[in-house]
Amino acid sequence: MKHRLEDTGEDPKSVRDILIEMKNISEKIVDLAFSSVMFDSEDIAREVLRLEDRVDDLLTMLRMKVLMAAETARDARRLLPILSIAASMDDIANAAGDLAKMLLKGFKLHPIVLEALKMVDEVIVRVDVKHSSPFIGKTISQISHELNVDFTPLVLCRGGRTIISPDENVKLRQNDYIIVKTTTLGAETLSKMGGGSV
Amino acid sequence: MFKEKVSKVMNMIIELKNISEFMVDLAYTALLYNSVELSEEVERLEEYVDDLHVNYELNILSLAQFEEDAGKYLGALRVGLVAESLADAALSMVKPILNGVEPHEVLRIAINESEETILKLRVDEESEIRDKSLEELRLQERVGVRIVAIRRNDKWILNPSSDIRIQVDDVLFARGALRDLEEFRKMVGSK
Repeated sequence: MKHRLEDTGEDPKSVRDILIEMKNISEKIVDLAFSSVMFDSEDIAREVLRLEDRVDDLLTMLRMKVLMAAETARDARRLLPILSIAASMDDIANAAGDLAKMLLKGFKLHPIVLEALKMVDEVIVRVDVKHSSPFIGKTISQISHELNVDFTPLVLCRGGRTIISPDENVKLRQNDYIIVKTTTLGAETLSKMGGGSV
Repeated sequence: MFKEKVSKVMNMIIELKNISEFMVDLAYTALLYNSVELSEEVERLEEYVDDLHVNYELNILSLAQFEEDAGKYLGALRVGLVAESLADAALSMVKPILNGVEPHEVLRIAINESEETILKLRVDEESEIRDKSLEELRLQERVGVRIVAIRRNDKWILNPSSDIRIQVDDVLFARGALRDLEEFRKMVGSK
């Protein structure tokens, strides 16, 4: 669904800000789409669709800005690559959206695909904070530091709420679970130390 | 027969996902440094992913015929499409560089320089690291650099395991801080 610029209800941003936001979303949205199908989460899938819409809006805003900025053929030539990069970020978001939509339509990922996705270099895993977990009361950045494991938190689930890209300074509570992206080794360490299940 | 196909498809998913994510990384690095060389690697990889993706889709289709519910394989196709669109995006990011247009200033700002970057090096006859395994080299400890990919003939080895031996003519992609990469360049000793 395309909106007019005025409909997005916010101050027009600079080309730079739009690009930064698009880049951030296009990086995050792929991991989130995979998280949604791997862990069968409709909440995350809906979040992916929301982000996909946002990227659409940003692309429209960016196109308008760039059109207004070009005065000469030389300008246009230099600005053209910005549009094509933004369009490919939109493509990424659309592909991620299609993956998430599949889940919302009731299709599940085939077990062999799930199995394969656990064997990639940078794997997405779910870490449960159970009642005896040493992670209780610790922040995400503390855990990363103490275990010497680099990981990117994608989602924090707390009492039925799904928080996307949680702050690294949030303290984990019992019964929370986080979905993170990390190396295979990191995933092992996290599940072993956290006493959670992968 | 069926089992073989399944394991083939699984390996393809792993490769598609690893390579496409690496490509985006490589494309951002190419944009930051306006590097034609890295852009050409992205282009090469994109062709590779194209072939791999077609092959993957064919394999999925032939697996699906054994299944009553073909819908089970819809997700497999869409996973492939995500990889494919990441690869295409990476290529279209570096297209201007390949066409001789310097990336617009604002792109570089948007990518925001990270501390780490990627260096590409070819191993020649005289290199000290030839015939050594990554385990022996202990690059992470010695120079703080990690080999993220090796191009060997027309094959790609993503995140090579420690038992992989470096061969003459291997093209290495190392990730690390600029300073450490310079150290690594000396260590490899290739021209």
